Amino acid sequence: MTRDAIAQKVQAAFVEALGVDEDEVTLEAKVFDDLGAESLDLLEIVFLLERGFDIKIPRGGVKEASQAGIDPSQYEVDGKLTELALEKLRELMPEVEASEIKSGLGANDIPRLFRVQTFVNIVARLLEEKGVEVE
Amino acid sequence: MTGGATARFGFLVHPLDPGQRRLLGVRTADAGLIAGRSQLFTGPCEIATLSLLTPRRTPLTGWLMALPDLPSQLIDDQERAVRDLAVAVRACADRGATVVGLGALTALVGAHGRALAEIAAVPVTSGTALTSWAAVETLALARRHGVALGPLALFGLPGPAAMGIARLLAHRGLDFEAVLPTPNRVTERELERIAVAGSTHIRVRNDVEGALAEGRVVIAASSTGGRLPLSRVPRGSIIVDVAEPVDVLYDVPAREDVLVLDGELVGLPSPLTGTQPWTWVYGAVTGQRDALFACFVEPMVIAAAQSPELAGVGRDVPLDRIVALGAAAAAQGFTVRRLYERGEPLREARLRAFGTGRPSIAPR
Repeated sequence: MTRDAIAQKVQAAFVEALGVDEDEVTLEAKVFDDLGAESLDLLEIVFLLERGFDIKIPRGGVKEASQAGIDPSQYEVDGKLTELALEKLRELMPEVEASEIKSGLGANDIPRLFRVQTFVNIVARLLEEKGVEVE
Repeated sequence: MTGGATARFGFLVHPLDPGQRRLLGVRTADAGLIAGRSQLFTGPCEIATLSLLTPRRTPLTGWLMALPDLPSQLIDDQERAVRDLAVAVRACADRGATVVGLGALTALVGAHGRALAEIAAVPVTSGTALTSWAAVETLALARRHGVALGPLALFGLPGPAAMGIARLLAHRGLDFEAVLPTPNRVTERELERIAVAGSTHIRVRNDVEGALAEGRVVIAASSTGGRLPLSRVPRGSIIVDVAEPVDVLYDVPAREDVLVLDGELVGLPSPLTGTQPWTWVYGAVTGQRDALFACFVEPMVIAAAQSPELAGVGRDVPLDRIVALGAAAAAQGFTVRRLYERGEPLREARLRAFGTGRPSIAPR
């Protein structure tokens, strides 16, 4: 499966879930700020992607991935991500400008960073883990 | 329908926490023993039969059907949840239900109920439309009772209930402030359309503190609840709390200088009777036998009016459905006719304190 084909299906899921126009769902669009989603809409988007690609998207996947290999006490202090955690997040989310992943960010703020591209990347990774060749 | 055949509906619930799940399991086991068989709480299960009578003497009977899943379990595997919900809907349909309401997370999983609607034996409905109607009716009732209303702020956007409320407020010609803590273009554009359609003025603002300070009346209708810390609400404010769980976060004890009205309780046409003590089942059901949450009432109205076309799921709640459901509710004797504060009928003294006559709690 090509990344373009994945992207098209992901964009279609956003259109269906949020009732937005196709041309608004660019890969760079911010899921909350640009597309008007609220947190519960992620539930619908995840459902549509799981059904559309026959995959299972783990809840809190990005947050958990950013925690991997980091001692919990070194991950978040006083509700703010440590520099170590921020660095990990920058690696995990190359689609987000590094300058946006900055000091003061809390773990609960991570979904605010989500772009449509974030979901394309997640789907592509899960498909690869399933043995599907992604070009 | 007048004094005719019994109208039948179903309503799906699930335990909100492990404690409720244990209680439901015990209740289910009891029912099984009484029926002469053992039964484990592993699948959809009838936990109560409810009855009431409409003003047109139509008997209305409903079944409260519970799934054993906790919220996290419903979310973790939505495909399985949808399949289980379809079984529960089928069980209601087999009992004669013509429509089934979706309580709590059952209305959210599977693309806001759309996946279930595609395979369900009878129409399913999320309750959002009647919830939007009840919130605005509560506001209207407060005004009729002489509560001193003023600038209006709407919290909870872009959630479905808040969007529905925005549409109905504009439709009734009410100006308001739409609070969007995080700016988003899509919602702002939709609000512009709503304002134009209703010939009203909707001011979008992003600062919560400012909106609270200037809004004498706050309609709080977030999708997740707990968004409005009571300590931050200015003296003299009136909050119509529509969310369930409630939006007011009681980080301080209930305050005498802030009126918190329940915004989604709808009065019933007759006392509700049930085969089992069921009011504890659905979490915060208030125990008021003469009023119920609007989302619960919605399938009752649809069944009583024999209007399955009014059932609806999904994120979008069109104005015409809200208006039609409100009219059907009123025709069937389901009206907002009493004000409640945190589940209790509003005391006269509270009404006087926030009234237009001689308000002793003046806004700041």
